[in-house]
Amino acid sequence: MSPGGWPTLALAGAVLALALGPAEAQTAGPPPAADVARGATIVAGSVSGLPACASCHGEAGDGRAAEGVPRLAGQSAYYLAKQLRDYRSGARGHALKAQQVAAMTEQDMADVAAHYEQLRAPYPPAPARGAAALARGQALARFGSRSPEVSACDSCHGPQGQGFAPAIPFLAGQHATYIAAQLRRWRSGERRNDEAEVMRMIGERLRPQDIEAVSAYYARQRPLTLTERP
Amino acid sequence: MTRTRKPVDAVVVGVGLVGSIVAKALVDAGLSVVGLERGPARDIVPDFQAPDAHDELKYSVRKNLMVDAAKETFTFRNRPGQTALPMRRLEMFLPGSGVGGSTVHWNGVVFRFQESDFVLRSHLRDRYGPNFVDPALGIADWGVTYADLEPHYDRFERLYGVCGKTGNLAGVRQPGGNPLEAPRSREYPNPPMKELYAGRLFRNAAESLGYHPFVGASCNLTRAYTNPLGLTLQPCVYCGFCERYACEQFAKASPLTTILPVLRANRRFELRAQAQVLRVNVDRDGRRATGVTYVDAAGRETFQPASLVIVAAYAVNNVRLLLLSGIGTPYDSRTDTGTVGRNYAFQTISAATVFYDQSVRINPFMASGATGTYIDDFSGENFDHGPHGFVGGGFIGPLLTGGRPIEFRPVPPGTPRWGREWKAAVARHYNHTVNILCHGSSMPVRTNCLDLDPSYRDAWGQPLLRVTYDFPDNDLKMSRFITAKAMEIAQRMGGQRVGGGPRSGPAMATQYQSTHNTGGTIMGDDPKRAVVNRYLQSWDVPNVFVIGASNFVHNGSYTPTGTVGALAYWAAEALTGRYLKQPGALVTA
Repeated sequence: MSPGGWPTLALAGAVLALALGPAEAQTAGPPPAADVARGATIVAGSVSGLPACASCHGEAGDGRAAEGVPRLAGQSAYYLAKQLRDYRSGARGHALKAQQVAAMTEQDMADVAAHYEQLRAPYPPAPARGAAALARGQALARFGSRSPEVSACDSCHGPQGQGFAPAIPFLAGQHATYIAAQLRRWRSGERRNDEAEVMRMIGERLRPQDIEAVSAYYARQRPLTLTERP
Repeated sequence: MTRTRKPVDAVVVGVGLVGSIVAKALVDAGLSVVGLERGPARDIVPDFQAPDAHDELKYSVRKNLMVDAAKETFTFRNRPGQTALPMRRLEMFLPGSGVGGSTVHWNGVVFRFQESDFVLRSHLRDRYGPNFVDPALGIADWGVTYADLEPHYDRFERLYGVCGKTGNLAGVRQPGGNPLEAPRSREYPNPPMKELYAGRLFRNAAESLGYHPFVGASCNLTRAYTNPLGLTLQPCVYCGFCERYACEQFAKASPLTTILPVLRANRRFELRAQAQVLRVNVDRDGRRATGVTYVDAAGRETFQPASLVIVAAYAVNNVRLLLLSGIGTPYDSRTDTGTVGRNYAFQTISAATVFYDQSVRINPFMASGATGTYIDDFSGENFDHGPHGFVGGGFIGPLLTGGRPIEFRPVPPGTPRWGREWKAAVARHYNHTVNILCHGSSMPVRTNCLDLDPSYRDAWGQPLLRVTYDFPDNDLKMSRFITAKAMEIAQRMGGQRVGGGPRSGPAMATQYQSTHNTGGTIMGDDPKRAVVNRYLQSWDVPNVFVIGASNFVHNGSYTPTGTVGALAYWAAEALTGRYLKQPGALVTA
């Protein structure tokens, strides 16, 4: 059983399905075996020709709240590698990132992703927010909304945004600036690397104040431990 | 002391698939309508959101969305003469309770019946001669034709956003679909679901034998879809929690996602949940309904006067309500007379199972309730029954619906039922097994019928419905035939070994087959056999319409939901287009 008391196999289902789609899951070859230490070397900027991820995402992988640079420490390696591939292919459109990852091989991506997955970084205090906004954020996260019609974020992202590895990223403790920016990108269609347009549809429905509220709520959540229950 | 509410134009008993469609048509025609639902009010938000929405113990094992068997259940026996015993836990079939009805927890598998199904007696006579059909079978024409229902199938499919690929567009074969399906006037409103790996393995084997595999139609949506009422369904994420669950993603079509938000916004419609209907009240000469009596959420017995009563409960509960109301003549299987309770049928399910070595990863958890690849070559009248001596058939194919860990534990025959070896086998086979469903038809016989139990009563003091059922010889023969076809395909799917086998008797109340109960208030042109006429209007009490799978004269090779939806629209059109203009019997006996 996983931390929230959920059956592990069931989680795997929701997650893989979103990322791959049933038929492709079988045909995709095994991912390259990852070298965590090499990943750390790349991140630190010690491999010539490859980007020094740490220069923006921080040595600890905790990102930068003010600039909306996401926390990567502890994020699923599968998810991170997919994002890198999507930057490279253009599926996740971002001019700067596309340039940065252009030289990365599949192996580089796997190594970097594996490095970040096992990193642990401290959490800065979340910025103060009004109680009403946090309550609205929590309601959206846990129960969704009938109008606009949005299912609970936790339905896929896990209790209190813990994430469902491999395919679904955590939101707990992610910078509100980053979450909000991504929701706006889903909304505008700038980001479109989701399966079946699920996130784009959610982005379209959320009102600007909902985006702020739910981002603030998740930024204040933390990973659950084995003794905690949502 | 029964209190009486203000009269309304129409009362709808049961706010599920049928009730919501018919109520919508009636309020659109200007009527005031009260919908009475025995279960609770509920909605996708907040009632069915994850993590709770994916609680297998709560929903699959404890059956949270089903009727509470401690309050209301059924008794069961195999044949007349036996003493029926109550189902204290629901296992054999799972009627839902609550606003939206059983379609909230359905798989989402949707089919149309064949053209021959609606004229089965005539069709079999014309195709095989007058002596082919075993006289023990209660096969009859339904009083409608497929052509009558086609526009209503179409309306239902638009409402529910059905995802599929046709193989027969107005009689012209289409590549990629089911070439053997009945002709459709339009393509499905949405593209089909992804084919699972299990489906691909089946497809390859089935094609090598010359069959015609296709991806089955689904009401779990493949893309965002706004239906004709302006409600938007969202795409399925293949999480594998459909049947026995509500969908938190707004991706499964049900009354909650396709019609109720619009219906409930109409001021002429009033929804009353937790309203347990006891009877339809009928006037002294038994020719006119005056309303319905129910127990409300506060426990008060209440009379709701109405000019028109729509009985739209779960299939066999339609039968029970008529029996409790004294509408129509109860069926007597000894003399084969009477109508209400006649032609009860179910489903004849069997399976073949392919066990693979560990190099073949099936990943059964990536699925929806309706991710199936099937062949239709041995359904209904799609093949020549002449040499076989039975009627009916079934679609065949792997329908993987989620591989949820408590309930999905395939192990090969011969595995111990518990202990270390069993555990090892579950772990070994979980991800390397494909079940091939044989979804067989069910033909009516005299001894399979429904009536009121003489001993057992529900929490409101009313007799339970007694189900008398066993597999007719015809259906066991059919099952042997189609299961043999499935086993033949299974042998070609590259597994290490194949298990499974045909359905055998006796039918058991503890064995789930499907929730596809049919019959008991059958439709037809003969008031001595049928409860309702071709417009689903009671032959006996013309201001009562009874609508649902209880109208089926037999159960076909397919899941019933599409045909129930078509019948709901068909009856709604008759109500608004004919009955309301001139209330009274629409067909003269």
